[in-house]
Amino acid sequence: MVNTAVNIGGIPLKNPVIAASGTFGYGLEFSPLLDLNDLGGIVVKGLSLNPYPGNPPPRIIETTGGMLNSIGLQNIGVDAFIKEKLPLLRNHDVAVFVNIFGHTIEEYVRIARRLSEAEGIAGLEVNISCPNIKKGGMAFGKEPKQAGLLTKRIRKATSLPLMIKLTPQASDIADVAKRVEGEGAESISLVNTFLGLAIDVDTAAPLLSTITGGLSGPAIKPIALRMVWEVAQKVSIPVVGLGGIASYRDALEFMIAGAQAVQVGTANFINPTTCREIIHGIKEYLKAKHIDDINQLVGSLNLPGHETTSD
Amino acid sequence: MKDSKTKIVFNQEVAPACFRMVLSGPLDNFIIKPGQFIMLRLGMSYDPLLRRPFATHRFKTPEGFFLEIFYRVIGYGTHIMSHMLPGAELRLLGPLGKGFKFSDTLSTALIVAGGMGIVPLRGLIYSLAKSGIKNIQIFVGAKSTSQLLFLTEFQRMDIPVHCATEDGSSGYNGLVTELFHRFLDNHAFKADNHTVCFACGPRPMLAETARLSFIYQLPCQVSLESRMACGIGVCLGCAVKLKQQTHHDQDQKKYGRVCLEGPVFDAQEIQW
Ligand SMILES: Cc1cc2nc3c(=O)[nH]c(=O)nc-3n(C[C@H](O)[C@H](O)[C@H](O)COP(=O)(O)OP(=O)(O)OC[C@H]3O[C@@H](n4cnc5c(N)ncnc54)[C@H](O)[C@@H]3O)c2cc1C
Ligand SMILES: Cc1cc2nc3c(=O)[nH]c(=O)nc-3n(C[C@H](O)[C@H](O)[C@H](O)COP(=O)(O)O)c2cc1C
Ligand code: FES
Repeated sequence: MVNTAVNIGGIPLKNPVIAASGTFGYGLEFSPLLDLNDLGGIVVKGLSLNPYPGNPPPRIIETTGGMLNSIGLQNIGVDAFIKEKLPLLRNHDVAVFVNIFGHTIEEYVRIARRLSEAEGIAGLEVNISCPNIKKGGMAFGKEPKQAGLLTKRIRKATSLPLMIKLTPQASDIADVAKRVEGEGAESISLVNTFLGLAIDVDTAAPLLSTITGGLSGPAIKPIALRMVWEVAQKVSIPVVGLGGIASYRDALEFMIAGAQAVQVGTANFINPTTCREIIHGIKEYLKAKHIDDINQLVGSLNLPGHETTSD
Repeated sequence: MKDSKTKIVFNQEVAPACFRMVLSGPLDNFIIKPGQFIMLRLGMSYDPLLRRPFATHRFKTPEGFFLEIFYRVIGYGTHIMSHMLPGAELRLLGPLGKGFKFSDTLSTALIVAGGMGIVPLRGLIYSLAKSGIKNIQIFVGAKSTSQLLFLTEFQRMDIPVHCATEDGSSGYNGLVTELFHRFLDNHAFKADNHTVCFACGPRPMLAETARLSFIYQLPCQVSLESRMACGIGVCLGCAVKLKQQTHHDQDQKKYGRVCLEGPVFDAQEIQW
């Protein structure tokens, strides 16, 4: 038997595959297609204090190997989640991470408090990286100082483990990572989407209502992987890698680069059983390679004979 | 709803830029209602990435059950589809969404279709005819005669078809909604729920049909299109704007998911 269990900042997962926020709804939507008990974890759609309507359509557009989205964090609000969704999720043996966002530090703090009173939540994933809302969101994640301050305040407000989700739009993402680690975050996840643009040349108009949107999917994988590798070297708390993962080999790349777990986002749309297939693929790989514990793989990037570029 | 492995058994052009694709697979328990749809994955690579939504209709032959899709080649994904050969495997997610609804008290069904909008309505027409709805009137519009689909089929069923073409090559020279407007003017339908409009087509055509049905006080169901990523209600990418229901949500915008609450909506629910 190979061990696939990992521990993400105090949260035990039976395997390192987590469904990413915004691509898996509140989890239950996938139960006709997938046994949720098979997954390591689920991150639910980003929640705010009050329900949020989201952006006008069109909200999505496919680009080569990826998609741009500008959902604008439409969600049912934290209270409806606790009342309607959480009781059903509790019936499953899967770690539930609740993704939260706010427009102000105070709003983040209040959601965190509210969720601390609820039962059945493994941890909070703090979205300081959404490109699709006008105020807050990514603004916190671009600045190490702001990110640190926010982490500190939420840390005080809850005893739930905190996973801070970083934006690739930060000028130095490793710097942001170090700062949130210093303020007590238990783990870090990266990356959220990259800001992008697509234009309809026939009308010379942007294809999204909000002009720009967040790019996700296989197209972003190499950049996300490089960022995970950089961050993993700078922090000692667990790093959860994501961005374009669609197969077990993609997932293994992130783990070898230093991620202790991975999240699967856009790939859930293309193939709703991607998470299960990745878990299966990882197990088979470990067996074939005679590795008995997945944790041995983490950060095992084989560098002799390679040079990091310098200027 | 499930994700099945299907195989192309037929894929040929049946009208200019319009293809018929037939799929085989484990379809014995695949019950799809008119107006519901499927999401097709176009191959096993990540390009094209997202599945594409299509209306579909199940039929039976001595060899078993098949699904039939009629699609117009309008972009990257449908272009790739048009080059696929029999034998190719496609993943198919479905059935998805909510279809058209009608009750036993329905006596007259007014079907309004623009372009490929006739495709999901064809299944509905079959259902209506099977349920013994006596008066079915079909209004179809297209750019040109060659793009009018299923005409002989409807004629064989003895259902009156009112055609409109933008180039005047058959029927009324102009838009299908103009033709529909004239028909409503000449017939006094009572607003008693025994007469219902069902519409599918380009958005401006649906908006006009919604406006007309409102004026003539006829219930109207429209099937909407939207870009979709997941098809199962989780990505929130397919949102359409709905009308505010109460004063209370005056400043709260409201959106509905075409893939879950739709694709068939009550026309008066939509913020056109
Ligand atoms: C519920 C539903 C049922 C449908 N049923 C059918 C059907 O039976 N037959 C059929 O031919 N088509 C149907 N469509 C539309 C079909 O899904 C699109 O034509 C197809 O996804 C286009 O893919 P593409 O890659 O070729 O186009 P793209 O390259 O993605 O786009 C090309 C052009 O098509 C437009 N477009 C793309 N996707 C959509 C969409 N979903 N809605 C409206 N415009 C779009 C774009 O604005 C663009 O101008 C349906 C759509 C929905 C939502
Ligand atoms: C439609 C959509 C909605 C998303 N919503 C959220 C969200 O609510 N909160 C969040 O932190 N990330 C959200 N994301 C970002 C993903 O969780 C993930 O970080 C990103 O898509 C990159 O991973 P991927 O390439 O595997 O999709 C969303 C992504 C998509 C495509
Ligand atoms: S297509 Fe994803 S919510 Fe409708």
